[in-house]
Amino acid sequence: MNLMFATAAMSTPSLVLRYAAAFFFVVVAIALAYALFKAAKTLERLDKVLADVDENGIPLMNKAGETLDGVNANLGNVDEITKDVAGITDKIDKMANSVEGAVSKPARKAASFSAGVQSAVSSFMRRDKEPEAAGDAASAGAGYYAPPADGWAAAARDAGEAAAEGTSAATGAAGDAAAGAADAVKDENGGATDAVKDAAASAADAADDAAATAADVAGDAAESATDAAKDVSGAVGDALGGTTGVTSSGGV
Amino acid sequence: MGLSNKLVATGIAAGAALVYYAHRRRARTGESYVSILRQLPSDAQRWVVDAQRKATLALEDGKSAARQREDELTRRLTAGSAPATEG
Repeated sequence: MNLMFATAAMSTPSLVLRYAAAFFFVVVAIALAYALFKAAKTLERLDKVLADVDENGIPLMNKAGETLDGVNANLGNVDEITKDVAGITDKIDKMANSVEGAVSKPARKAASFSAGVQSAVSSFMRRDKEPEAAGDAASAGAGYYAPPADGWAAAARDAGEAAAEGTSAATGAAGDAAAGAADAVKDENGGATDAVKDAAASAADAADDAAATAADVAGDAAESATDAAKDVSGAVGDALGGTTGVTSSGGV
Repeated sequence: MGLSNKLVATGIAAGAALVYYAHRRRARTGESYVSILRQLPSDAQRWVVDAQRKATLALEDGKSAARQREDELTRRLTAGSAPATEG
């Protein structure tokens, strides 16, 4: 009895292990069977899909090839159209440049010509008004005092020449008187001192008279020249004032 | 219209112009008609010389203005046709 108990006690662990291993193998077998069942189903569906692909994929690929051929053909047409459009654009650009050159240049020339004509006419009219206004102002300033035919400068020159002629005439008269006195002295052979004194006195008087006459003539000439210069300067001043007034009022 | 009629018409027009000119000048300067008629050739000659001088100056001014205008238009057209710059 004790021996049987001891044998049973010694064989209990191996028995448990045997049962556990059997259970494990059963569980593994069930899992594998489930997995294989699922794999078989999947492979079956995959087989069906591949069969469908074999049945429908090749025609689709043929159609896709045909479509691509058509697309390539259309792209070729689009390329040609693009080239044509580019050529047309170039032609339009050239034509626009030609039209611009043919239109803008004459228009520019015409505008320049009109501006030049306008400027020339305004310049001519402005220069036409200036001397007229100056002439009116000068005539208004001078009144009815008509200028000499040769001008004021010629009148002053004539007055100066007259003064010079008067001076030379007085000098000549004094020289003649002195020469006459010397002749008288020579004729009297130096004897008549009174005659010489009288002759010298008369010569001196003649010289004084001639000098006075020359001075008067020169003074008159200078005075007339001064008056003439004053008149000229007054007339010029009036003319300039009138011109300035006309210019400022005209706004030219 | 014959030649005589043309001459008569021209003479009438010239006489009217002369009378108008003498009347205006008399009203402006107070000179007599005889003086005005006597000075008419010299006035005409002076007017011709002045007109030539003024025409020469006006022509130069017109040329200058035309060149200036053309340069301005060319500059405007060049600025208008230039491509726009960014920034």
